[in-house]
Amino acid sequence: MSTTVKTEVGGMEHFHTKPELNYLTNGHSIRSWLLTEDHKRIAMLYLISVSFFFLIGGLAAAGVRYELMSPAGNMMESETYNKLFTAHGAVMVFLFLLVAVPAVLGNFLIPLMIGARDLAFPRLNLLSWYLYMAAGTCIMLATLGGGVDTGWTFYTPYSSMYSNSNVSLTLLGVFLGGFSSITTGMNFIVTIHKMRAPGMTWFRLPLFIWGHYATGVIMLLGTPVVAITLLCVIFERTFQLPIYSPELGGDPVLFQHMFWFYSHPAVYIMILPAFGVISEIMTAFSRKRVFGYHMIAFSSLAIAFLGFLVWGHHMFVSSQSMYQSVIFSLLTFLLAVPSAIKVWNWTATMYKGNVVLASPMIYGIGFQGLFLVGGLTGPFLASYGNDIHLTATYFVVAHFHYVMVGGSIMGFLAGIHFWWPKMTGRLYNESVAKWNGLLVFVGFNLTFFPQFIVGWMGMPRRYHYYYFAPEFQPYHIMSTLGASFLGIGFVIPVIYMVHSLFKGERATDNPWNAHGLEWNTSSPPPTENFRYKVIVTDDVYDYDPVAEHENDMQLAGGKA
Amino acid sequence: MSHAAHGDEFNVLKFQYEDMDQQNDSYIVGMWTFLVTEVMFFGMLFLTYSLYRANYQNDWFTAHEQLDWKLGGINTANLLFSSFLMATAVRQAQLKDRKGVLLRLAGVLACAFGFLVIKYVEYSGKYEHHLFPGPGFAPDVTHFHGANLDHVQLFFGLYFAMTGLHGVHVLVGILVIGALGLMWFKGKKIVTEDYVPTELVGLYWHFVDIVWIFLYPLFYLMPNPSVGSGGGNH
Amino acid sequence: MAKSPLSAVHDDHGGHHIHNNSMYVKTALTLAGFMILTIAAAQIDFGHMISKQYGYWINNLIAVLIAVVKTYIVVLYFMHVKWASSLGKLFALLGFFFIPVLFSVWTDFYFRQHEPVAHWYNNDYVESATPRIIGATDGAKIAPGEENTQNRIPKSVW
Repeated sequence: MSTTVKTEVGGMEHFHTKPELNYLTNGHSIRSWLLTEDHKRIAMLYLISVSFFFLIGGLAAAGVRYELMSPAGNMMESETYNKLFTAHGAVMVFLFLLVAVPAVLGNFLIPLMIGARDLAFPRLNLLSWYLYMAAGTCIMLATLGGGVDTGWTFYTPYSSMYSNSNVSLTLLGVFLGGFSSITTGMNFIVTIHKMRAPGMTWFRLPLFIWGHYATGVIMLLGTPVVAITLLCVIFERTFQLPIYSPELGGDPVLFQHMFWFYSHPAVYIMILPAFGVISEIMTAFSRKRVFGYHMIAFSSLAIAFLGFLVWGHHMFVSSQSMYQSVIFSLLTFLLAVPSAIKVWNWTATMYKGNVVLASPMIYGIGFQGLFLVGGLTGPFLASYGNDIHLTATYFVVAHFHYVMVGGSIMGFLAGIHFWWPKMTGRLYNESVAKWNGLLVFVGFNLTFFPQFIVGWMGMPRRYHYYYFAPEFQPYHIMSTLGASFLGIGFVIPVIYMVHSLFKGERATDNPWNAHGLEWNTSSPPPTENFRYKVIVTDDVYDYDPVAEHENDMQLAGGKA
Repeated sequence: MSHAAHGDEFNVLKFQYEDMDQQNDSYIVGMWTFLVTEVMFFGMLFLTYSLYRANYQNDWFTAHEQLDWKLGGINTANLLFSSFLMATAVRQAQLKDRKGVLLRLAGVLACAFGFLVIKYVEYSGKYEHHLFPGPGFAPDVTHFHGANLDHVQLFFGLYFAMTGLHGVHVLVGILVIGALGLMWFKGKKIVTEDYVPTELVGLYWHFVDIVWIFLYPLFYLMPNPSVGSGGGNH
Repeated sequence: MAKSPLSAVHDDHGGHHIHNNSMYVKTALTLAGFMILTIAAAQIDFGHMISKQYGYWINNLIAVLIAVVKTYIVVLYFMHVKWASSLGKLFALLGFFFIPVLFSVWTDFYFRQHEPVAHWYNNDYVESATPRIIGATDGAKIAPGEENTQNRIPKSVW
């Protein structure tokens, strides 16, 4: 395996690193972390902060779930419930899903995978973390200091005129988070265009990079639209500038248009990086070159572009024109094609490969199953007529949780498990990780599959009671039980990951025997990423099943 | 070897780049990606504007007569001239002419302040006539020839939002140009050895000009939609 | 040693050209000309001159077209995109090309003019608790015992 030409170069004095130091040990002061420009350290900062916000969002979700155990809604007031599900939605979407995979794994791996010393704009990268923390602070202050009851969608005129909760502060948080996202996207795009090592042509890029490139484009084109849209709501609330005011002739549906113009592509910000992670894992653990490399790469770009043309399917029951709705319905069906291409290609990658069921692969296969269900329930909702029945029911809730949680979070977990040895230089307990993957998969399905059924039966979303239909209760109890399993399944990785930091076995440079530049440097990498000049001479994913058969046996035997 | 440039004395080339070409192209492409977001940012406001204006043509025409197209015109010329000065400042930066750059940046700053002063005169006029939307919106009805005052309020809502955000961009421009000027004044190598930082500020400032190029005809120079009597501003 | 940008004055890399002052002066003068043109065009009453129906839109179209041309000139010459690398050109134009996608929201507002469709209301109706028309729940409008015709939905829905 010779992906790089290793030529020792001098002149690394910029970093003042000794050979035995890696990026984690190069400086121990708080200042060396908080003012770092090293993309790997910023990724770790992001990892800690997104985990914290995931915990907050998860606690809110637990409140929602336990409330729905009973049809009477006797645990809390309607208002409290509204604030709770808003906190769950806003925190999870804006502070976790949009950030988790790109800002943690993308930040850490993009320069490593393309053979660069850092992202193109390291200081901007640090700024983006501070903007993210400012956004988190605003949303946390708003949530803990009284809460917001608009739902994470902030529909006008409720958010602009009627709601007495902390809408402006939350919106300010989302606005700042948007800029954090924009700076990340700018950084990725310029880095991927300009910082590739010699020989790293576009079609030698790992698919992880293609996924993040498409993500960057969406961040760039979509985020400013929602930023200004939400800023206009702030203007309405604080300066009484009418923008969407229906009583003056403004159009609140325009807010929905502009909100979903971003927020639909935003689900691709959440899922495309996860697609990238899964592409890496599928090929690495099938010991086989990924099937249809070009198609997966271009389908990412197709999703990024088509994703901007389908936002109206969120608005079938608003006063959007029915003609427009028909067009959006058709375009939405079209969007299923590139997503299906990916799933098909991953399956074909596994076909006749030497599949190794290591823990990242368990999560990766789990991703495929969940994303498939989530994806296939999409056409139900894309059908204009069908959607009028299903809008704002638990069917929608289940659908987007299958895509967002089943897709994005499973992808995130898979990626963390895959690159954890590279990020920390330690191995976690492999068998616990595998069993936990199974627990998450089962817990997830137990949580959200009953919601499909109860949603189809008519359970509306965002209701905190359902005394009018007590027959829904068994489904809700199943769901809550599953959510408890899911919660445990998210806590256990934290335990064994943190445990591995102190007690874990030291990882070799390439514990999975995977291909890619990031596996050619040491684990954890030095601050300058590579101690030699990187020149890429080989094709991407150039696995040779016969020659590696022996390695596979070793890997499977040594780790199971 | 490019790393020779990493010494403390001459740190114009950042450590993550191989050479100045790569760095400069990255900076310029990076700035353009930022401007892409700015285009989309203002694009949404222009979209809102176009929808409402198409709906309330007559009311908005009446409302727009409250704006002084001459003041707006002066500001347009002002920004155009500052844009010209900025472009030549970049040229002087390429020639490493410190004095020339400083002179032109001072000119740009003067234009930007002039812009804000005129904006202030306009805004305070609107405020005195109770044209600011919200509870204080109480204009002299006789000026509006029976136009629907709700739609007039919508007009001023967007007027303040759009020109206000543009004004914020001018303000940011003043800060950035001021900082750049200070670096030139101090002779910091990061600007004197490499013209690209000056070029980046220039790109930003030209974008601010472009936004105004659209704002001016759309807000100040509306044609009259009443059939047969259109055109003409006063 | 890193190449100084000035050692590449005449090479073909983006932005390294040093242009004559006359280029900037010409550009500025052209822009000034267009500025006067846009003010002048706004004074012309196309409603009288060409078409009563479309005059207003012709005025608007001319104003926007002039603004687009001015933008094009600023982007090309002041912002040096004419001499930029192809990557620079791509990202310089990306945002402007994407504006039409954003403006496709217009189609919704165009289609809405054609609603409600006439035959929506030609069917038989059944009573519904869901108000179909805003304001129908206003009790003062419907006297007790009077048929609430506003709360009807077509039978075909059932």
